[in-house]
Amino acid sequence: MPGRWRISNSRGALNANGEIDIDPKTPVYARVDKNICAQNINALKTQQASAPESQKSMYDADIQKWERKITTLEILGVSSYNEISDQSIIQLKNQAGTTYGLYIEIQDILKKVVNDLRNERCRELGWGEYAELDKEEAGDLEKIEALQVLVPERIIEAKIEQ
Amino acid sequence: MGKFNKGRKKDVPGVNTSALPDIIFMLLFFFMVATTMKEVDMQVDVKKPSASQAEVLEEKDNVDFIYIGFPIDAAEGTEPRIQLDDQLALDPSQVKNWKLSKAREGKTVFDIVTSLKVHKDVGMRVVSIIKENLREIDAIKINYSADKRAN
Repeated sequence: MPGRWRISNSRGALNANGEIDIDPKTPVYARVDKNICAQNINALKTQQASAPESQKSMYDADIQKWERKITTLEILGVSSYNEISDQSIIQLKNQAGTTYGLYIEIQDILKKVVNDLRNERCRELGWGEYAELDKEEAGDLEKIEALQVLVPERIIEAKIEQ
Repeated sequence: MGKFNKGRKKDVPGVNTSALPDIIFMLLFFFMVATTMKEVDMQVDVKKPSASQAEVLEEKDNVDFIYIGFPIDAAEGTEPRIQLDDQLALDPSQVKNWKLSKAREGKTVFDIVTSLKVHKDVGMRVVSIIKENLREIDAIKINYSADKRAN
């Protein structure tokens, strides 16, 4: 895909041909800038215009996602940032017999990891503690949304075999 | 020295009760204002799991609740059952029609969050069936209910 590349890290080692071998587990990053956001928003708006009435609001969520990325760029004061690919996800697979209590416990741990990472970014940016940002305040809400863009939470669940 | 006249009976004046209605009305109004109606009669027992990262659910008007737990009435058996509003669902596929009937003014099914309140010992099978049913009608905003715990 255009606009995408792998960022090698310490896991990539030189092979016999002098190329960098990249561990397939190395996360793929995508560059996000204002142009890409604007393109996507336009494309979604065109699709939305021709979509049936009942599905129109589903596009709003996607459009909002890209608008948030623009806000993130503005709040960070940069022209582009690297975003972890939307193919990097956490897959959670349950068995039919798993109890709901255990499931929530695992979700809780995953959520904690995401929150910890957001907290880390939050401190790096000099915004203090993530948990102390207040949704009710406009300035803080923007920061929360920016952190949600920078550290996305993508958990998908596999279908349970019945 | 004063004289003590033990024999004379004193008339005790009657208690003034003219303020009594005021007090009663004040109590009545207090309870009228402070009481919230219980939204549903629980037919199933839901002991929620706890989670440290739980967040408070906002905009409660925009949420439908589905309860899954063990029936309180022993005649309904011991298998986990689904409660939609005041009734136990006979079949998980009822969730679809129920959710569609909940559509509100100016809101599509997609916009309305479905909150699952599930007993912690219920298996994920039934939860998963409900989620699939909801997905079929594009009601994909789901949240899981849990009690907040410190850590």
